Amino acid sequence: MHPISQSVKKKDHSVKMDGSALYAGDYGKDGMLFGKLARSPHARARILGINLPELPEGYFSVDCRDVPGENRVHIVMDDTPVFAEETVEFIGDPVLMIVGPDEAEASRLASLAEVIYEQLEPVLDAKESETAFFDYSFGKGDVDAAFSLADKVYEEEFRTGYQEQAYLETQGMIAQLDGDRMIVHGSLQCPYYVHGAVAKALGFPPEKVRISQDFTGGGFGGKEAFPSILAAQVAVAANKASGKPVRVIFDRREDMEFTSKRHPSICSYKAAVKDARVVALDIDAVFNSGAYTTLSAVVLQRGIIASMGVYNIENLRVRGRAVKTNTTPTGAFRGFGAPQTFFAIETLMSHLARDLGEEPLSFKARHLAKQNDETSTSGKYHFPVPIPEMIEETDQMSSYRRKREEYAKPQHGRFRKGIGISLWFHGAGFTGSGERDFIKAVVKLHKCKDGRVEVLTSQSDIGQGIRTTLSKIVANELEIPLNNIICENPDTDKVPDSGPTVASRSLMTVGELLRRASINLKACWKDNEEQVVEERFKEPDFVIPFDLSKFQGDAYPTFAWAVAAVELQVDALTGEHEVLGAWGSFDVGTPIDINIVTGQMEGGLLQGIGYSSMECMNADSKGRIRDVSYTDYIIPTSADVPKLEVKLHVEEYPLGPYGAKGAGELPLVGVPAAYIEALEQALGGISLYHAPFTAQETLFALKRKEAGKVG
Amino acid sequence: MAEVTTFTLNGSTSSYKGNQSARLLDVLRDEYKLTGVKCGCKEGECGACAVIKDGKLINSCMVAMGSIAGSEITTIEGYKKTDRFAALDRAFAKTSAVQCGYCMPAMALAIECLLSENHAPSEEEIRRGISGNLCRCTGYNAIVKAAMLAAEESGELWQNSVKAAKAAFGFTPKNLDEALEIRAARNAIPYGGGTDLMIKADPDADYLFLENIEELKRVYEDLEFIHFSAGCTFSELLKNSLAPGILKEALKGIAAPAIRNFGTIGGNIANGSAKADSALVFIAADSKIKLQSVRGERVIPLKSFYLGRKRTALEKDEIATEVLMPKKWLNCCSYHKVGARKALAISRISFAGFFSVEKGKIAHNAVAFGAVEDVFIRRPDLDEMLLGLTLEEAKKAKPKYLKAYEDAINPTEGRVSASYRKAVCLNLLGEFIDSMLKREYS
Repeated sequence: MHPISQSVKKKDHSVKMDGSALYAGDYGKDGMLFGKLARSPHARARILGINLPELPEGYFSVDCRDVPGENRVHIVMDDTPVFAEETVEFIGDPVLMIVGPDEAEASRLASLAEVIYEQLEPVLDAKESETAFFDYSFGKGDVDAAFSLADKVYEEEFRTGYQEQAYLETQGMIAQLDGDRMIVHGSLQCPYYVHGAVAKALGFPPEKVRISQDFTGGGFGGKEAFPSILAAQVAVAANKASGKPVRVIFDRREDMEFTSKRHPSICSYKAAVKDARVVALDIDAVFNSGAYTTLSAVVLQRGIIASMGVYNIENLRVRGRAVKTNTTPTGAFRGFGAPQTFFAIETLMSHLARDLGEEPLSFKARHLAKQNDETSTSGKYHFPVPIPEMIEETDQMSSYRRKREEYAKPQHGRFRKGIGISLWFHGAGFTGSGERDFIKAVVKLHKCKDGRVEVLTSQSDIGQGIRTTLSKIVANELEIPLNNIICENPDTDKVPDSGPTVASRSLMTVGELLRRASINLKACWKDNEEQVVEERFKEPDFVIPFDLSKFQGDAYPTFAWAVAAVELQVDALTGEHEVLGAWGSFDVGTPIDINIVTGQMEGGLLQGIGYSSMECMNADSKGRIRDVSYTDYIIPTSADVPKLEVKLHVEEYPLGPYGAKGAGELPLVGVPAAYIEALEQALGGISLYHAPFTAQETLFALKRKEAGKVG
Repeated sequence: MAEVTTFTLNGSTSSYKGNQSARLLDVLRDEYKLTGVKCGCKEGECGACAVIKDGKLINSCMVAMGSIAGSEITTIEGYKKTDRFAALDRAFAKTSAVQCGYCMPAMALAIECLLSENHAPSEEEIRRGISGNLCRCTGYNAIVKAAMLAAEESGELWQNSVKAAKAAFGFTPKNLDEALEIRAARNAIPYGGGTDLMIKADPDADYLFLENIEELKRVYEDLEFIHFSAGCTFSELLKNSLAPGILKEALKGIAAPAIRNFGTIGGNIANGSAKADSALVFIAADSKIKLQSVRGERVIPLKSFYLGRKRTALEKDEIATEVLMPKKWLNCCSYHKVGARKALAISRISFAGFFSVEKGKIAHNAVAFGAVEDVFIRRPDLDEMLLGLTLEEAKKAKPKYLKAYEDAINPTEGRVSASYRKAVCLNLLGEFIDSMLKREYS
């Protein structure tokens, strides 16, 4: 183990444990105003007029006419309005906000705001959408030739559902006009994203906007782009509030129904097999983007780049579309598009193997990519692919192979078991040349006179422990005690833009910049003097530049790898599943803190199991999402998966700090395929095509199977 | 309802003068500025707002202020000054169990309650004990490890737990007569634990807090019945030796500790839901319910108490005070709940059945289904089909019996489909008959 991996008491441990850490909802309410959004009840409609109720003294309303800058939220494409203009595009599209000193009264008044609509025909089904926000194609080899020469051709369609981040703290934001500056703080992952959005909506120059992160009760991607929307709305309200702070905190139902969640997907795969080997894939992935583009372009890019899985397949054709529907805009969630395509490729490979009479694991192992092989985008796996060793580690923990054989025998009792395995990667850091072309990260170290050193980055600790791990890197390099490192929640008045806290990039990319900055500081260290050093991102030399217009080149400098097995049991009377165990081997390079990385892996693995089984979110025929409370949208409790075991495999990345790679997203990505493969086995070897798979569906699948209709 | 509630908050006496129907959660955060009490859902489903009330964990979003008169409330702000917190804090730091931190203050209090009941819990007991506290970050392993570590290293801190004795006084009625008078005069809503009422908390409602009435806390038996008073909480009954095993099995499956500590069987029944897990067992056992008012009392079959979806036979001046569970036929039984997960789950289908064979013939067969239709399904007319049959005859009669239920059950369409509900009912019923017959053969 690298000495730095030794765990320490986390920097933010004490204040979180004893309840003194201030989250957005914990700030004093004296003099505060509260905002409540009035939202569209229709999936698509034209706004004909607005009749406000009579507003008592001290209350006011805000809508698109109050936006002093541009009525667009700066995200990627800037199509999301701050407040709806002529039309509303989904149930929940914000039309106006009522602001006043009593939260319940503001809420009552907002419910009385009468908006006159002319209803329009909505598009609710992604398959029927004719609007592709993004439509990408790429490939390699000669797909048509490979298909014409194939022994056998397969065609399968895979679907995945919504997944809600379900962070324990709902979205919340507070804004206050201080003279000619707008000060915003709240629950968020990316202070500079919010900064850009607020400046654009207000039409303020950048220096007139200040954003800081409060303690944040979980994000998982859900607080990457959405806070930009909420902050723009709250800032516009604060701009009218004569210097009083305006706060909006969502209740759980509002948060679940109207904030971004994971894109539902439909992935159609065609595979050509020659001599028991997959020689070509023709892939068509459709992601449901919802009403606005938000982050769909980048989610889709990562999804389709991962669509070939961990395999080396010579001929590849990929088309990916993110389509518009009149539903809640979807967005970032741990894994960022990759869980959808990994579910498809891993399940497909398993189905092909069974059809060809081979054990899925050995079939998959025969197709694995190796170091120096080509990636889906004709880039290169520059570093070793440790999947074979990780398969053995997972087998050792889970007894996968023995159980797989045992459960393959016919099972007739009430309880039937199955075990499945999945292999995957997660591209480390931003997709393509994002770091080089857009982010251009800058970090600073500020050495105080007394010898303490402050870490200045825009990274936010949302539970993943970045304040601790970044501090450890700096302390280690400077050879000073960890207690002498200061690392606070970011504030744009103090920290440079080192990029957003997303894409499993913070530790690998920003951590490495800090390591280099520390080396520089150490070289010029002067006692009793205040010093500042700065470090900027440079793209590594070995990278084959990525061309986004062709999807060619290195989409990622390196990859984190994973193998996980899930064992479960089905109750044949009720269709209920019980997870008997989940085991994962994860390679995120050198762990900068063993406990922190293990905690990330365990938490992600459990979220993946939820995504595969109990986390169902459905909409009714009008486009209204029904499962919007913790009662209906079920996430795992401590009683649900008692056996969860993680092993860290280390394949060092020479350009990450001490060999570290991206970690946070990895553990969730491939779990649904392992879960569904286990379920297929428990159900006697049938084939399933979607996740989550409910108890109800399981019972009916079993009935069909026993009636002789397989599949 | 504006009166004064006097209670002890983190060791100091406090008088709250405000709306008695307000949520404890909101009052703690807004009036007392105790923001370590976090708000996650206001529906009793996440546990982030849990505090300790008289030694027991409770979700503060599900508590109306009026119900805490005379109680001792401990929040993280009080608890953090104790040696026990220091021990937990060390253990949590060692396993790095704190990620986003939002669930943590309540998690610490949940473990405090767990360890004061059981200072050397097993892993399984810890997982059950914290199953009402959702954490989205950790996967729970580090939290479970921390709790075990604290018990291992500092278990002695919890060995001499002094349970705060509950002094009943103040605002709520002191005895049943007083409660019945208030109920008749004010038409106040009986509040038996609040874990259902407070989901849609109505600040304008008048609640009649029944929790301090000793007469509603009793369990006793006579020749024919076990009497369960309506104010018994699920946690209390889980520890009561008179409660039959099947009832305990059902109670264990209800929600999680912070709900079981305060939810009562009276509330579970009187809310009229056919998803109530304790009520199902009582229905299958053909229990009766006692309804009292200033006019007198009546005892009616529990089944006839349910009139329709969330409609009951309770008159405006009545309070449900007792369930009378017949003692005969209780030994051979089966219970199954289909929920969406292993804790904090509302029944999607539930089943309870009793079965007895005497002198080779079936002497008793009674089954009930919950969460399938608007009211519980209990059909003695169908169950009779098997009575008096030998085991062999029963085996042959089973298909006809199942068919009769297939025709009789008319499930509602909800989170799961009607056809799924019916299929599971029939599967569970078939399995019940098979296992009961098999048991008799062996």
